[in-house]
Amino acid sequence: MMDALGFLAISFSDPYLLFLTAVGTLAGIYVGAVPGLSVTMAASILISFTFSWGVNEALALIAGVYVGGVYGGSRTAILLNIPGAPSAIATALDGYPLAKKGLAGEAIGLSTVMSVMGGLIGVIALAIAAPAISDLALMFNSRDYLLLGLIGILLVGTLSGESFAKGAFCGALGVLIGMIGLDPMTAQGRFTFGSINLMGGVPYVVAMIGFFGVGEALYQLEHVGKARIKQKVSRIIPSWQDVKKYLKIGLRASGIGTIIGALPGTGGDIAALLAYDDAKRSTKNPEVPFGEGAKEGLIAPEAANNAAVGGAFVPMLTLGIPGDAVTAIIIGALFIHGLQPGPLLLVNTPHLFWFIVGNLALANLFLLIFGLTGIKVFTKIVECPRAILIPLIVILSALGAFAIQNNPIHIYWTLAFGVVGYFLKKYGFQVGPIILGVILGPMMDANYRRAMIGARGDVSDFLLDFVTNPISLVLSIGLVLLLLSQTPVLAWIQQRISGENS
Amino acid sequence: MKVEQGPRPGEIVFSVCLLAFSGWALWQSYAISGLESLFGPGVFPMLASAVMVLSGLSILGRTLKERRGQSDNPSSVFAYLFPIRLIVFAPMMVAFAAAMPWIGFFPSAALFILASIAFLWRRNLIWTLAITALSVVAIYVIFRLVFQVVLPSGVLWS
Repeated sequence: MMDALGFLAISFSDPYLLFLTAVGTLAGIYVGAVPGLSVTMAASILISFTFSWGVNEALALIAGVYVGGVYGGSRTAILLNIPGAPSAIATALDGYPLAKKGLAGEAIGLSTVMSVMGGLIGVIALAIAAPAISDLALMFNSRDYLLLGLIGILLVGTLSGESFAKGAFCGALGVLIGMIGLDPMTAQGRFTFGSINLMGGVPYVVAMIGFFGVGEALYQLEHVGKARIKQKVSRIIPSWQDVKKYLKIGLRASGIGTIIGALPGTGGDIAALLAYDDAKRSTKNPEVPFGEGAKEGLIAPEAANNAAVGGAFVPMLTLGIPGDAVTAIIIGALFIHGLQPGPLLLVNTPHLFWFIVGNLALANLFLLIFGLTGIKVFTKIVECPRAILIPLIVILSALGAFAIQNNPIHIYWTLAFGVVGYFLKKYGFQVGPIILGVILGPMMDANYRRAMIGARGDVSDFLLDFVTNPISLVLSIGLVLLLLSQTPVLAWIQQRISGENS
Repeated sequence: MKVEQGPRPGEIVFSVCLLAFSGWALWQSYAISGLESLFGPGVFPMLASAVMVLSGLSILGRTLKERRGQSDNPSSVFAYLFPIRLIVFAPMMVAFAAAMPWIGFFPSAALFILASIAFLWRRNLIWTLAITALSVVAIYVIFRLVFQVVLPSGVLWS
């Protein structure tokens, strides 16, 4: 126990590690906030140039960027209505309406405090419940991952779009984009049209930068001449009453975030959307309706996406399965440093496990400091005229797309995705489900096929498995209810039940 | 993320295009491995494109219902989709991407930033030049020096 505490304190006691964590967190906030720059991209670039560093130093910087980046996306979501990262998609739904009411400072302050709370809860969960949560995740089989992916995409579709059909269309389109390239099981080309460039697939960061960066830049061209909405950022430190009032919903969202984060493949983005949905359902009488600036709708996704960071480390450190894209990159970093993430990591290198726990906690403390300060500088960047910002977004998008694999073709793809995103936006489609589809599509495809192979290709066996396994049954019911909620059937049943009762 | 509200000229044509694309995607997905096995590489793409076809039909149906009796003239559709700024800016963007392998990332980025700020902002040249120079230097320091991203230097100079 004393050993664990000693390892835990390493990052707090070493000034250089303190410095690296602080720099990482601050840089992460800006990386997360600028649309087109992603934490995944920053983490992958950081790995290439921290290669020669010690493992603690490299991890301190990357963990800082990770924690800061997940939070940073919320700032542009609140101030500009552009989520800096997919995990901030749900934040924009209520954060931006709050900013429009002149409550941007309050929204940022509240989201910072709740993010830190969520982050620390995630870290505590990582430290205490890691074995238990990973046991639960172990019980999930391929069907369950398929169901989770479907629920995730449909949730984004129902939450962010103007109609369910448009959300479902975009989600499916994203899945299709994710399928491009050589099939990992049979090496057969899918939608490659004989092009070598398409055989490697479309990196989802390229799609994300295209749809969110270039697409948004083109869409914003119309508004160049208009005066920028100056968001008044006044009071940043939230009132104690507000924190106390929303503590319960923050705790609840942190719990959801930790569990969703711990499921392999599902990270902060799904956690944030599920927590938003949960807050919407569980808040009976919000002061302001959801979507028009409900503080509950701001707090839930923010607490959840930061809690998911701690959660995402659980399967990564205990099973060697990444919880999300960034932890997948961190696994790569550990391999580079000669470490083997998996069940033996905790046994052979307990110091590393406790160091990560301590460092994540430290990054969250820095998040509190940087989150509640420096907003004036941040808003100055945000107040930059669109005429200057738009060309810069295009340049940064091109740079980000190129940096993934040093492939110039990715720049053209990014521009093409941007043009498609522009037309979709013009006709009321949301691009969020597309991105989630691209990220989750390959995972869902692999799990669908594993489940089908498990059922020996027999459709009735395959379907039966969904209702005979308890975990699959719960998830299947969740999916069916989600689909029913989009049709008049559920309302009709509710009406009948209430009619019979009265 | 904002979505366009109010009447959207050309919405019916757009919905038809989406449906046609979905149908083509379904056909392409079928061409991958057919229906020989239920765990072949083409099955999941077929499921995804089938969802696109179904939701595309639903979107078209709804659009037709909402816009019954309304007709768009081609000029309003064009004005809605292609405002003048887009017509000028989009080709500049493509020119930037096309010129990059030839003249290098930084020269093409500088020209693109200069041209687009001059077109979109319309302030005096000194300011435009100063902002361009500042942006390019900042990008160089952050990405080339700190992150050490290797960017195309241009085949014309090598």
